[in-house]
Amino acid sequence: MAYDQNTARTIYKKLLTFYPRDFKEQLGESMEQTFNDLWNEKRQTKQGLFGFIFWTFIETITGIIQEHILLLTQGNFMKSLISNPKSAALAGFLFALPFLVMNTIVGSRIEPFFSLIRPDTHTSPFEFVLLAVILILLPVGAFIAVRPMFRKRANGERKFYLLNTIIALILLAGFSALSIGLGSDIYRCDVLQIPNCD
Amino acid sequence: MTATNSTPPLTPAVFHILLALSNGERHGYGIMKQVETDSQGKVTMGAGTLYGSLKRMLDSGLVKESDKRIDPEMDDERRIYYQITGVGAKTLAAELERYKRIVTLAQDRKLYPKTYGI
Repeated sequence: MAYDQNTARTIYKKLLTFYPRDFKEQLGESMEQTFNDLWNEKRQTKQGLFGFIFWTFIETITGIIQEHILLLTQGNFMKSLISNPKSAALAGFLFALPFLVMNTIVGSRIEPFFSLIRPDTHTSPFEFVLLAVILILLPVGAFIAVRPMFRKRANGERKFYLLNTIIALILLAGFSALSIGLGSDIYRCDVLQIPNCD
Repeated sequence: MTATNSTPPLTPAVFHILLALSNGERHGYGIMKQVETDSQGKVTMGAGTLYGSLKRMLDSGLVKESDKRIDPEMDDERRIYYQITGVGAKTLAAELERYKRIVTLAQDRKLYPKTYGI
């Protein structure tokens, strides 16, 4: 069975991106070189390439988990999470989840949660506070998503991450649109008390 | 980490890496091969174990990165080499001393023949 070295190298390189950021920056290049050296050795000696690939990937995945657990136990997990571009983008996006959940509950009137949020026929003070907190989470998520772009790399330069930028823009656009839309609704319905404005 | 009597025993991986680097700088693959040779093939170290240990050793000052250069026995790719530090050498010596004491103790208790003695 033939194995494509370039494919294996690409997958291994992708796998290395799951290491904590500091680890990857410090040792990622060496690990890639070692993988290539081992590949060449196995190819020359005609020893089982499948076994080599399988165990290398299993061992590397185990190493990745160990490094993250180590960060977690050392209290650096959050720092690592928000400094890694991919995990920062994911973490930023997760800040939109409370709004999406609340919107689904209110929009579809899912019980018993709907009654908890809106016990009366009109928007309750609790709902205002909850809505404000959930809306504030959107720009917070945007900030977390773009944070890796503000951090200088080892060469003193900053890097642009498209995914993080898109997520931050979506969160900020959502925050602006919802604040204006809900703000005007609240002003018309609860301040001016226009009948049947809901 | 300091090389004192109170230093906890090294993990097998750290011990073998220090031993492999004790007689010269090596790159990652070179360390793996040296560990295999030193242990007569009984210890094989995967990349995850090797670099996980190297990370800890770099952080604690047992080893340091050396300049990138080409390995004349391999291809023309420039490689990162690792070298043992003074602290690393002292830590290895302390570990070997600990092994020596254990072997002496085992010999005293007739658990280990003196003909193999150190």
